[in-house]
Amino acid sequence: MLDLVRAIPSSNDPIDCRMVAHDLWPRRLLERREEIAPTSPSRVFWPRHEDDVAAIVQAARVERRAIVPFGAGSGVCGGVTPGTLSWVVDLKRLDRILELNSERRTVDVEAGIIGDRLEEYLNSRGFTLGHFPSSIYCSTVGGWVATRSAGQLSSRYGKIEDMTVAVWGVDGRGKRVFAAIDDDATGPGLVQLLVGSEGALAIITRVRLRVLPLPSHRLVRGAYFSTLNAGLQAMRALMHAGHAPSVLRLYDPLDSALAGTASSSSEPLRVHAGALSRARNEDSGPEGSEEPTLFDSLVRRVEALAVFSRPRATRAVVGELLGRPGIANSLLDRFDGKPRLVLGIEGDPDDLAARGASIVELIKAHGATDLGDAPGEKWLRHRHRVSYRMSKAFAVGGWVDTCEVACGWGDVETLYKAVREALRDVAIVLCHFSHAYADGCSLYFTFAGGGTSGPGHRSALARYDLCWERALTTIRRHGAAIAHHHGVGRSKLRGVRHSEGNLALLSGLKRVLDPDRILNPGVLGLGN
Amino acid sequence: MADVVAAVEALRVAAVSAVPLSASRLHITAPRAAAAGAIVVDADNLLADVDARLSLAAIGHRLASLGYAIPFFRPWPTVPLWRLAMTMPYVVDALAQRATLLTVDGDAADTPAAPRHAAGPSLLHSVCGPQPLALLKRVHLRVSRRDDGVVGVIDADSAAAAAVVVRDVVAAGRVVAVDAIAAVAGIRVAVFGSEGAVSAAGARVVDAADAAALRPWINAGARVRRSRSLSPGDATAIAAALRAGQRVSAMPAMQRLAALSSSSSSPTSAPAVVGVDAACRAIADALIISRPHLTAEAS
Repeated sequence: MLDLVRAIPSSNDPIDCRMVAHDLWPRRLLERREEIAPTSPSRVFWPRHEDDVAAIVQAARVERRAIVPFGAGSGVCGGVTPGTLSWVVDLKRLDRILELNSERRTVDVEAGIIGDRLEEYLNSRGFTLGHFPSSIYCSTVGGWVATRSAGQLSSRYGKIEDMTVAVWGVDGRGKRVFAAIDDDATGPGLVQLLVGSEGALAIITRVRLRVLPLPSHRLVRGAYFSTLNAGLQAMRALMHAGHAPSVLRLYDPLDSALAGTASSSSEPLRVHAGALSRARNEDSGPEGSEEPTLFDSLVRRVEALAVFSRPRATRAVVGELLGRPGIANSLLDRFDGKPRLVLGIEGDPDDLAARGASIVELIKAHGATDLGDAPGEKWLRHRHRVSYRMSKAFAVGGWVDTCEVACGWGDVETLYKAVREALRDVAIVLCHFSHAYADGCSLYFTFAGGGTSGPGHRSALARYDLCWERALTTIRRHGAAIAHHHGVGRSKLRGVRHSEGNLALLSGLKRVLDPDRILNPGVLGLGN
Repeated sequence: MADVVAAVEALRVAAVSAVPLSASRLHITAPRAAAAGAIVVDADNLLADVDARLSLAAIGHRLASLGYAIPFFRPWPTVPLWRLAMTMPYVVDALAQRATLLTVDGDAADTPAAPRHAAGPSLLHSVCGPQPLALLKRVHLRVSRRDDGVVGVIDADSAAAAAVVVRDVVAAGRVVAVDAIAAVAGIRVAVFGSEGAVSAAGARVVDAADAAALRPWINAGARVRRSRSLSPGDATAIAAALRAGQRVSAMPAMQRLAALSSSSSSPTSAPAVVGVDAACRAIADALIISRPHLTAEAS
């Protein structure tokens, strides 16, 4: 190895390389179950500062090695897919909080810091970033910026690109680069060209983010609607009326049915001390009490049909049903769930009471039945839990994946129905509608399916791939954005169809910023 | 010149032949704002699909007649949007949802039809800056229904006090648009949004008859064509801009804020449209951190 990088901590130990060989793309988990070994890189580096990153890139140019940036490995789209000759740059040692400027309300952090650690630091000083992806305990700030991440409170606080004031990084020439919205030479234009670049234009090493004062109080409410359309109309009306809810999530009928029944409530609005935007809300972390997963809910529902009384048999049946989604969907059609809305606002107590009353009045005008505080408080307690409990389905031969897309309000329900219909014989499909804006919202699909082990068109891997093929084809046909906050990675590449002009622009940037094409080859649809 | 395609060609010829092209000679014929297809309102999503040959002024007046408002206080820039994007990126960064583009090599490009996306770098922003990668052809601008909002004003006796007002209104995220400008005495902050949001901001609601409330904006100095984005919580920078006689505009829902000015470093020069490769090289150079003031900051 070149002298340039000899002093930088690194390893070619197979275990170390194996640890950074892939992210949490569910297809990789399926491959592991099928004993298909991942491709490990030839070496992993742990740079200690930005100069180390620059040195690694310069050495990689000489050695003609591809470089794959690695944060915490929480991505779910296969953005981390190194080749056998690649070097992985694991940024977790770049985890310093450099400066909180409370006057300018910005914080400078290195890219490798885990999100939860940053939020706890900010909370202890009276601030919040307002960014709460469900992966907050196991994802890095750099990863957020590289993939245009969104948190659960994005309707109020925006996505990470709305919070990014400046970006530092190292490009494929090994040069340190910088862009800031208030820098005349770069401005918001170049900031937004680096944000979302998935490591293909530069390795992000540091960012400046805007922060906001931590609100003192919250108010949450749940409601259900007789139809999905009524719920979507209510969400749109809330966003158009400028209520700026922090939480606004509508669950589709199936998801609502699996969550169980809820009674209407006439309890008065209650303002609670403490913000929604805290790093920890009671037991909202990955540990703590169990929150039923999709798998658990299916088990419960099969038990409710009184077909099987023994838990083990029930679980086996559910595993079988995942492999026969056509039958499963016919059974699930029998559950007549009502779309359930969870909403929450933050602010001063006096203001919250008035806004809360206005919001409840508005959603009732759209046919909502009030469910009181309980659904919102329950969501708040468990909001980060679900991401850590996907493995049960994998353990019984099934698979689960998620797909987040975005479109205008007028297309939401049509797209939702089209995706469900397209996948009816391939997967059980749940969906919630969150990340709402005045001009549209995100549809967050959960796909659950199964299949046999080994090769063949009935195998779990083949069914999984078919599910994504159909989903992306449907999403594209409806003109929606193929990703809202997970990025593109490998899983959505087949959904990328660059126009000639788009490809020319992206390729042009790639040519000058990464002339040897060594930065994370294969993402963004730019080829290998 | 009929359209942006012809403009790109003229600009490239000028660049390749090294013959300066005055902006005054680069006149693209704009359609009438009321012409069919020039402005199409999408009421479901509060968007207006507009021809980028139109100016914000033409768009604003036409939308007003249709019952909609741009989240940007008057007086509106009279420069065509495709040109304004280069000197006033705030218009793209805050107001634009998506666009169809023409690269400076003449290829068609577009951006995802969604409120937000995570499908790579934002090519919408490739139209910003003095040496853009692309020019706007059509753009979807975020709009509001006029009937859904009211205008309110807040008077502050100093730039520092006004900056805190602007910062806090933006942080609350509830009004549609905020604007601040020097008035006869102190600084006046105007907000547009729902009545509840405007009241919560502490603003005095003004009615249509109270034209004097917005008089500070009705002068030549308020007609802007350059923007410098600021961090929305940076009251120090906001105050400095106000002290320098600049307008400060913000769109709280987007968490975007910028200082606006009428000055232009080279008002008669045409944009440097020299091809995608050359523009990319310029971008790569602009990003390098060896620029002296950045090196000092980085260390």
